[in-house]
Amino acid sequence: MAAGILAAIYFAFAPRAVEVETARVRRGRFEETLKADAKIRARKSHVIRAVADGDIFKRVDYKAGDPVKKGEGLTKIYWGPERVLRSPADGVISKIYFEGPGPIRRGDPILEIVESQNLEVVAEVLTTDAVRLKAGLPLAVEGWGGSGPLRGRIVRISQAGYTKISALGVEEERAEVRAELVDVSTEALVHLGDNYHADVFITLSVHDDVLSVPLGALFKEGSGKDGGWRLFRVVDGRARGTPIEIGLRNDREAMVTGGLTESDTVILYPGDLVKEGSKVRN
Amino acid sequence: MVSGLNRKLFRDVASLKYQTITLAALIICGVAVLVSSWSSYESLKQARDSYYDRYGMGDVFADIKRAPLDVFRKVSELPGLEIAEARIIEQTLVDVANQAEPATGNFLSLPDRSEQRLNRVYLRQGRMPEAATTPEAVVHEAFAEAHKLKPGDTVDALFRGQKKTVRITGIGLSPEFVYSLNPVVPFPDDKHFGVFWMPRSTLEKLAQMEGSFNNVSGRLEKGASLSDVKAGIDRILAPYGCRGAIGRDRQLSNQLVSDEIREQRVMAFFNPAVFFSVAAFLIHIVISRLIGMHRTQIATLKSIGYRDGEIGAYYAKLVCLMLFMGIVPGLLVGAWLGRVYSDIYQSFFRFPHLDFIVSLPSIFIGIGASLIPGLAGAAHAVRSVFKLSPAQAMLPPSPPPYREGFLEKRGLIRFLDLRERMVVRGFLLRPWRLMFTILGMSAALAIVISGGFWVDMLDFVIETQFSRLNREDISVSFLHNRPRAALRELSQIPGVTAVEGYRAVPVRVRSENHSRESAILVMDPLSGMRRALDADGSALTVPERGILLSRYFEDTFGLSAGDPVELELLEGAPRRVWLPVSGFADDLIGVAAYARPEQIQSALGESPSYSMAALKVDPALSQSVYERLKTFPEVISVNSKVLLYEGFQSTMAGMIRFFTGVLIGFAVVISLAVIYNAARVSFSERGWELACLRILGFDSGAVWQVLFLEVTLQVFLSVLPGFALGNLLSRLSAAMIHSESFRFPFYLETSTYAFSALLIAAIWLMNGWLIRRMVGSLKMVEALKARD
Repeated sequence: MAAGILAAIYFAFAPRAVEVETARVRRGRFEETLKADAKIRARKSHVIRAVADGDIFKRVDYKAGDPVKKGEGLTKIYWGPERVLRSPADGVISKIYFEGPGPIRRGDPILEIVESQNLEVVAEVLTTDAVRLKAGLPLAVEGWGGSGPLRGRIVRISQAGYTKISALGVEEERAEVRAELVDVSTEALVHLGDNYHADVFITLSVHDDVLSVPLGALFKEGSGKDGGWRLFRVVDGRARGTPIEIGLRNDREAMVTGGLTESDTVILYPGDLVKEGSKVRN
Repeated sequence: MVSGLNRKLFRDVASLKYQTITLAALIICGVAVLVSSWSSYESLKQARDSYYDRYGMGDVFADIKRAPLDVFRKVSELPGLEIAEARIIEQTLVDVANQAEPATGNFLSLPDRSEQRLNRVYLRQGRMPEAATTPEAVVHEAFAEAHKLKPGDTVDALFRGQKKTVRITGIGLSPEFVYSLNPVVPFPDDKHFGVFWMPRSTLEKLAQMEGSFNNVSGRLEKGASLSDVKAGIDRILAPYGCRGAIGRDRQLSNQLVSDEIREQRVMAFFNPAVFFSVAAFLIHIVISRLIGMHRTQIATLKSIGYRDGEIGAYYAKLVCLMLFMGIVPGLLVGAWLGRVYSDIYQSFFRFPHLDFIVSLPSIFIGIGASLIPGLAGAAHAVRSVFKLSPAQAMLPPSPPPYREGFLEKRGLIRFLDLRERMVVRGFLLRPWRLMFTILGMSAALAIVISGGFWVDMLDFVIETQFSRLNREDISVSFLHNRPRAALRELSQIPGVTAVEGYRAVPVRVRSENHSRESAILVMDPLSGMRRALDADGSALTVPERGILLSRYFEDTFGLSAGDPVELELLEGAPRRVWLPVSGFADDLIGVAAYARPEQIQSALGESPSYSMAALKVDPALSQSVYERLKTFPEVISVNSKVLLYEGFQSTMAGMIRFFTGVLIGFAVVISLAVIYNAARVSFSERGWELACLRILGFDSGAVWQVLFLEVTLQVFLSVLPGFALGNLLSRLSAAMIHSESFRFPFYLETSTYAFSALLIAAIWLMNGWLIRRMVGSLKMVEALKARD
């Protein structure tokens, strides 16, 4: 009887299992990536200019975006003799400077053509990040609107930096990083063009067969500067605080260098109800 | 003759000292709860009404993006609008010397030439600001107190990306900010949110709002229709980004103050009602039994020649004397407690004065509710004695006649020994009395449970709000919507470990004849820091197609999953989207909607952008993160969850725990009084039987066992009904107090039941000891004379 009462009291006051979200420690490839805003740019553009002071009698009958073929006659200029101005490459009209008809001076721009099928990727990277990059690093182009990432490779890191106002309104020093697209399907290329938006993830380093955990599981022990990283593992339905060592981090995961094994389950975003040894459930 | 009765009066009260004390304790609790909560309700209501009246609280408010002052003339000429004022309200990041993390400052413009007529500033200290080289401002008292700001001090504020030093010239209050609350944070946080008032000429330059306004407030003419005026304002201001005019009922501060007053009214009615129904019931029983035991005395008095009226008046006097011993201290305790309550309110609700008034009706109700059941009980008992002839009444009452109950018929009685038989037969012969005792005890248990319910619910709300719903460390809001690059930029601050972006889009949700302003939280399916939860606290997935809504829309709009709902986006040019409702989230605070970016962005016709970001931060570096965040002109507010949590724990939670503690304390007193009185009355009534037991050779331990067994059985039988009643009472109070801005969940921990049961058990053991003392003092001969 007394034991029954004691048991009832224990169960009534025993702490409830805390409901938590968990994730498995993942073994596999870990990529240290750098994310940057980028644009897809035509590698070459051509400005068609008046070859002499003269007249253009017919309206320049193009709209921005019209495709042109290499050698296609674009307009005629008269200055006594007549000269047909031809497109130097396949591409699209990107700008119309002079619509005509009317007189024009030698050297004035008439049209701009970009080679829309000859594309590269230009990312604006903080100079502090740019110093970690080198030509040849692989990158993934995402957020361009189509499905799946496009692959690319860094060709050049500009050493001519410039200052730009950031999204949060402060001045930042940036450098252009140019990359070529590798193995792009023609279907994708057909849809892309000059000045199209993209996000790039530059792979700084790749580590195969390593353990990684979601960033949401990590927290710092105490508030001192020397406090190490910790997380809670789930062991037999209980939370166990575990100090771990982490190496590299990307925007979702951290590479684990010590303190965890592959079979471990960790608690995501542990609240203050999760304490050492507290019962947890999914 | 009369002096003889008067002498008897004091002698009787002295002999009934234990009953008088327990009754008094009971009455003190009931009266104190009634008077304190009713008085603080009336004081609060009175303070609000007179403040609103004297300082021109607006009836209607409208926020717009920006409009030229010419447009305001059209608004002020609207029929039905008595006065209207155009203002600039500018949100800024404020940097105070003693605090690393930035605060949010709302700067309001004061008219330059004319007097302020609406939402007037009450100046507590200092002077009103004037145009000067260093911008001057009056600061709200709540912020000034949190930072110990005095007139003459300065703070730094970031106006449109430009840091300006602002000199404080005074400390003020306004009816618009009785509850000074940051619109994006559901709890008061005086350290991190402040209101400032500045002359228009100064603020319009700082906010780059020359010749424009972005807020209108107005007062209605008598009898004018609020909805007509609102529609008129919307019509004029819609092209200028008006998100819909709101009445006073939706004004943030007023909504919360009024909710609190409404809650206080419910509490002022509900708790005393419960307390008094228990108390009245007990008073009635105790008094009627006490007088029942005086039957021989009454008969003797009658035989000496006292008339019925005289004896009746005597007992009325006795009962009143006993009751007033509780009523008077009860009134004093109630007035004191009410004053404590209103002092606590004063630190939340900023009124110029909160004069505590003791509510007169509550005093009359308190006295009436104590006296009426007492006198009725006395009258009932005295009358039943009067019916008897004096000779018959002078004999002790004969015990109820022996009947064969089902125990005897089935032969079950032989399983019980003599003492158990006495107890069980006593129960079976007087089933009504047993039921009432159980009812009283379970009511006491229920009060403890319903007090514990508030603590449980508070813990549940805190847990949901701080660890299930908002799992970030810091949330940052942007001045304008920012592209994804902003998130990248935040993630590069040293110490920031993870960043997620969210977008809040103001929206008007419509379905058939219902409409309600709210905000859609646009969240990426991969994000995990902010979530929508169901009643069990598990996360809901934001659907690929459709929208998640707060449960409010199910209850009020009558929507169900699958129904299409019209969403009028109130940002930029007005646009309408129809989306199917995919489910309902059990939001505790306010109402919201949740959708994926694709659903809303295509409707807004823009590329992904964010109005706020949630950050995970390495605590060791949090100070430097704050410092860095302060340098971004596009960051308009920074909220730290830990600091908010600490603020909440030290203020709101403290207040609720105090109120609950008082209630539980009273509940303990009540249960003690119930159980002790039940035993005491049973002892007095059975004095004759028990003395017989002693004479038959049972020792005083055996007598004690009989009484203790009886109490034990009563306590045991009342546990389950008590649990059920407590559950019911908690549900009832959650339902009654439910408001639009706060959804009170019903949540009771098993440990609360167990705690109340243990409390009752402790009281039961204490009673065992008290009964033991009573039995020890039993004098056989006196008891057999049955005069007590």
